[in-house]
Amino acid sequence: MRLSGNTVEPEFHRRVQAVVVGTGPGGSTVAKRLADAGLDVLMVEAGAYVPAREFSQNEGEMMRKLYREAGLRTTDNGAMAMLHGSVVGGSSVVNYLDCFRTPETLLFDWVKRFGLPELTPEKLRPRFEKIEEILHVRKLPVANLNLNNDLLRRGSEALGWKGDTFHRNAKDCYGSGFCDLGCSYNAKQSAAITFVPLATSQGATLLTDARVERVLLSGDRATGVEGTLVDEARQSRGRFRIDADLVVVSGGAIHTPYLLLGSGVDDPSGQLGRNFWTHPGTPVCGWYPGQRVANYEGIKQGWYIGEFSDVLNQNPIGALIEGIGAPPGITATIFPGLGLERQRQLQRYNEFTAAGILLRDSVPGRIGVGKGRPSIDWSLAPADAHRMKLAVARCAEAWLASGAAAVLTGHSRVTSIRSTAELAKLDDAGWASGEVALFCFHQMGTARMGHSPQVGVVSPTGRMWAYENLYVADSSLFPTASGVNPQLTIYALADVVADGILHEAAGSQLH
Amino acid sequence: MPTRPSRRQFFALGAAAAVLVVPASLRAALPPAQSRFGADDEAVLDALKRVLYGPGADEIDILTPLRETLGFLDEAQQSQLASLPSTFDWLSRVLVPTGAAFATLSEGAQAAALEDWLTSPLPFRRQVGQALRQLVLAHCYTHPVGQAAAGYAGPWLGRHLLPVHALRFGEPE
Ligand SMILES: Cc1cc2nc3c(=O)[nH]c(=O)nc-3n(C[C@H](O)[C@H](O)[C@H](O)COP(=O)(O)OP(=O)(O)OC[C@H]3O[C@@H](n4cnc5c(N)ncnc54)[C@H](O)[C@@H]3O)c2cc1C
Repeated sequence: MRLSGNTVEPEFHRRVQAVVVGTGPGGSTVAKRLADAGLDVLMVEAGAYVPAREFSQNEGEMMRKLYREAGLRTTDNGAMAMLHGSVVGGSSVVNYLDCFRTPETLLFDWVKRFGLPELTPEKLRPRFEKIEEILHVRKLPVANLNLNNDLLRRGSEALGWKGDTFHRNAKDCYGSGFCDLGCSYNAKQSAAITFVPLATSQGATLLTDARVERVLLSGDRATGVEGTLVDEARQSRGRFRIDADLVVVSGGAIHTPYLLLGSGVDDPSGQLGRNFWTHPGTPVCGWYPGQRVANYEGIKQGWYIGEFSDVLNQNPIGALIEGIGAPPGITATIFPGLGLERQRQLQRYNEFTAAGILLRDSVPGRIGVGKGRPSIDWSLAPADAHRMKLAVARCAEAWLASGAAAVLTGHSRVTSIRSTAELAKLDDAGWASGEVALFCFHQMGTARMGHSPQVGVVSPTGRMWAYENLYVADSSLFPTASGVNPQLTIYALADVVADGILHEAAGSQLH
Repeated sequence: MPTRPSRRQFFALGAAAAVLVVPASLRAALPPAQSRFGADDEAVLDALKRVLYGPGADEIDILTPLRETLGFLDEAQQSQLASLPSTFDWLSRVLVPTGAAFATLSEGAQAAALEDWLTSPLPFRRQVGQALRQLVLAHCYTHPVGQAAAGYAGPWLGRHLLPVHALRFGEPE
């Protein structure tokens, strides 16, 4: 059953066995598993239910409709854009479909340092297999790369670097190239069209347009959640309260700690909101005069360079380089210059390739409770800026190797790089706030798993230490940055949490 | 014509100038909180559009979608963003004390003033400059006129396009 905060009675009240806050990969997985087990589950989602027919492919409109804060959210210092979805399905609705199983080296580290025996590659394998089947994960054939991604492939192969096509959760993909604005063809197997309907088909209820503002607590138990119902214009139209035997918070790595901290939870670890990992990214564009690249046409993310990844290839730079298609609104903000000069550059928009650096950050930020919204305390640490510079240089080399006449980075001061000799320009490029375009698509950490309160905010089963029945299941659980696109890891960790809930709480405490 | 800042705004401005080196306090010192753009803000945004977009800017309406964008924001962010253009304006007057509002400067002077923000050694000024630059440019190039100028064809929907890339999905390689 689907209910909307826009239409239910303005003082909405329900009692259920389990309430799940958020319907991204984390929340929807737990909701499905609990519903499968016969529990009376209610999913609460702040965003709206937006079906494929409403994905207009219009950049401005969809940014407003599908992204939290219309896609304008940044870190508190304005240094990095923070993109995440707020809609049924969460960011899985706007993501680029890249799927990586958690790298084994990383899992060994998590198992060893954080005491998480359920996360060995052997134990996770069947979970990944099951999830990949539901999400229809397939490897992209090289023949289906668009020119942008193929130029990245050619460049990296010419240099002898490791790289590959992505695995993607797509079915009958036309390659329309609007992934980040929602898939109008329902080819993207997001949580909104997989795990969420699987949960509702097992009897779970979905309440959309409902922002949870507080987890209700009584002693060592969570007793439910309450919040505001919003209308289509996202304005408040009423209140709701859900009483529940079990509360699962899956609002993503920014909103989960924000909600829990704001609810005054007891956190013996003292780490809730800390260890905010972001995979900071920056764009690197190649210019191919006279060639129509149209990087936004076809599958936007097809090829990645794994050579410089620490978790895939033990490279100390610790970055992935991924082909990416950038719509004009975003591209315009990357190109430097004013007026006519910038306009002339943008007239060559179709001749530009684009790739993004995805850095495995070594110094985390912190989420807190700001004035009416989460505070996001983050800045690019000097050591990470240095590694980012090296990754940008490698990406520039790849573009030059595949015939780019020039390379443009996201720096406001560097104009262009025309040869490898000019890579030295990056030394003076500037990485401070406002000097370079940085973006974050992957928010992680903030309620990490660990074997004890000294190590983790939640237990290896996702339970907050001080509560019998309060769980976290989303990207907040990551002990460290994953170093690869995180969605499959989130689905898998949420599946581990679902087992934990069914084992620990459901049997004994549900009424 | 934008109105002169009120006494309260001047007070906020003085306070803001005093704490320029402490951006977080600066933010707190720079109200007035408002949930929509005032006439001064819109004049600044319009002027920035001309400087940033260049020739043809008159064909692009960024104010309507910008107002709509504001409506989608959480309250706290709404007020921060809604007063950003006039904050920029007030501080420009202090830092480059011509006394004139940004929107009334010549285009050359506006471009120079904006460059000054974007390349300032003070992180806070760069951040404000970049935030406005990105906001305005993103709205120029999500407008059909801006998109067409960049050679972007826009949505497939309604254009009855057959898939350009006939993909053969199904079996993993
Ligand atoms: C543009 C983009 C591209 C990406 N591309 C990829 C990719 O190719 N591959 C990949 O692996 N990952 C990708 N990601 C990241 C990936 O999609 C996310 O990491 C993942 O969706 C996070 O899952 P989650 O369950 O932690 O949270 P989310 O997906 O963020 O879901 C959280 C949900 O909870 C809701 N919520 C939050 N707070 C509340 C509240 N208080 N009350 C009610 N509801 C609330 C939110 O509205 C949201 O819908 C991308 C992300 C973006 C933004």
